[in-house]
Amino acid sequence: MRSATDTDEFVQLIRDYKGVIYKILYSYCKDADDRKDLQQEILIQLWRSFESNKPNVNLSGWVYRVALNVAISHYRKEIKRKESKTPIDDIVFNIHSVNYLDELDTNLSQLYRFIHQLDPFNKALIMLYLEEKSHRDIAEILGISETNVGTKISRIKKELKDQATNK
Amino acid sequence: MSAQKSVALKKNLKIKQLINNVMELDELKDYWKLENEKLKERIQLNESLIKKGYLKKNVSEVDLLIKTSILGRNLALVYALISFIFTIILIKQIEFSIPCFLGGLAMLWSFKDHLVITRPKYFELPIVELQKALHKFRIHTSSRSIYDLLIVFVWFVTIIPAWINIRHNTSVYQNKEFGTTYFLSLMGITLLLIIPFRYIYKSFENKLKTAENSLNEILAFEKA
Repeated sequence: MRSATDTDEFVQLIRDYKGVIYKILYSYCKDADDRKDLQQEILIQLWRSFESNKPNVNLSGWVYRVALNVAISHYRKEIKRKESKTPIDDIVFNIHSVNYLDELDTNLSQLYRFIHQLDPFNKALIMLYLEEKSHRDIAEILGISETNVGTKISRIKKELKDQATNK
Repeated sequence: MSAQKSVALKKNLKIKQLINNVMELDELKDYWKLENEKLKERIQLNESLIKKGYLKKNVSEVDLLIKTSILGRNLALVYALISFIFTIILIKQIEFSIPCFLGGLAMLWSFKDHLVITRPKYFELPIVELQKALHKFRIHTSSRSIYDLLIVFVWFVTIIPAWINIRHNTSVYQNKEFGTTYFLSLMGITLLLIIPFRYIYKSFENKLKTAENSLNEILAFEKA
C-alpha cells in the first residue's frame, strides 16, 4: 500500500513530465479514444514501476523508457484494441482544444505528420532526439549502440529533408 | 520558461527560417522545445483522478499472460509428480505404471521446455530488449500450444486408468462398466480439446505470425 507522500511524489512526477507524455500520445495515436487508452496504459505502467522500482537517478530516462515502451506495444496491438476495448472516459491530461494538431505551428504539425509516418522504434528515436537527449542516453534507453543511433538519426534527417524538398 | 526566453526562441526560429527555407530536423528541435513549454502551461492535470487510485484498477495484459504461463508450467511439475506417485503405487501392474510413467515424463518435458519463460525486468531493460523478450515469449507460447494440448491429452489417457484402479480397485481393460466410463471420458476430453482446437490453432498461428513479424522488425531496426 502506498503512502500519501508516495502518491504526491508520483503526481509531481507526472506534473513534471506531462508535456512529454502528451507529445508521446500525439505521436503514437491519431484517434482520441486510442489516446485515452494509451494515456491510461502509460500511467499504469509508470505507477507500477514507481511502486516496485522507484528511480533515484536519471528520472527523465526512466520516464521515457517506460512511456515509449508502452507506446510501442500499444501501437502494435492498436487494431486488436479497437475491436475489443471500450473507450475510457477518464481523462488525466486535459487540454482545452478542439484539435491540438490543427492549432500547432505549420512546421510543428508537419513534423508530427512526419513522425506519424515513421515506424514505432524510429518514432521513439526521433522523439528522444528532439528532446535533446545525448546519443549515449538514446542508446541506453532504446538498447542499441551509439553509432547506430547516429546512423539512424542521419538517415531520418535525410528523409525529412527529401520530403521537404519534394514539396 | 520565462516570456523573454520564449520570445528569443521565436526570434531565433524566424532568423533560421530566413537563412534556410528547407526544414531541418535540428531547426525543428527549437519548435519542439517551444511547444513543450507551451504544453506545460496549457495541460491541466486531473490530479484527483490519479490520487483516487485510478491507476490501480488495471494490470498489464502481457504480464498477466506471462504469470499464467509460469503457473501452467509449474502445474506441469505437479501433474508429473502425480503420475510418478501413481507409477510407484502401481509398480507391479505394468499396464498402468508404464503409461503413467510416460505421462509423467511428457509433463516433465513440458515443464523443462517452458523453463525459458521468465518475467522480464520491465522497467530496467532497454526498449528494444524488452520488446524482443515479449515477442520471443509470444512466439514460444504460440509455437508450443499444440504440443501442450497433446501432452494434456496423453496425460489424461495415462492417468485415468491408474486413478480408477487405485480408487475402485478395478481395471478399465477388464471391467466393462469402467472401461466404458474411461472410453466416454476420453471422448469427452477429446471433444473438449478438439472442438476449440481449430480456433485456438488459427488464433495462435496469427499471433505467432504477428510476433515473428514484430521481432523481425525489431531485429532489422537494431541492424539498420
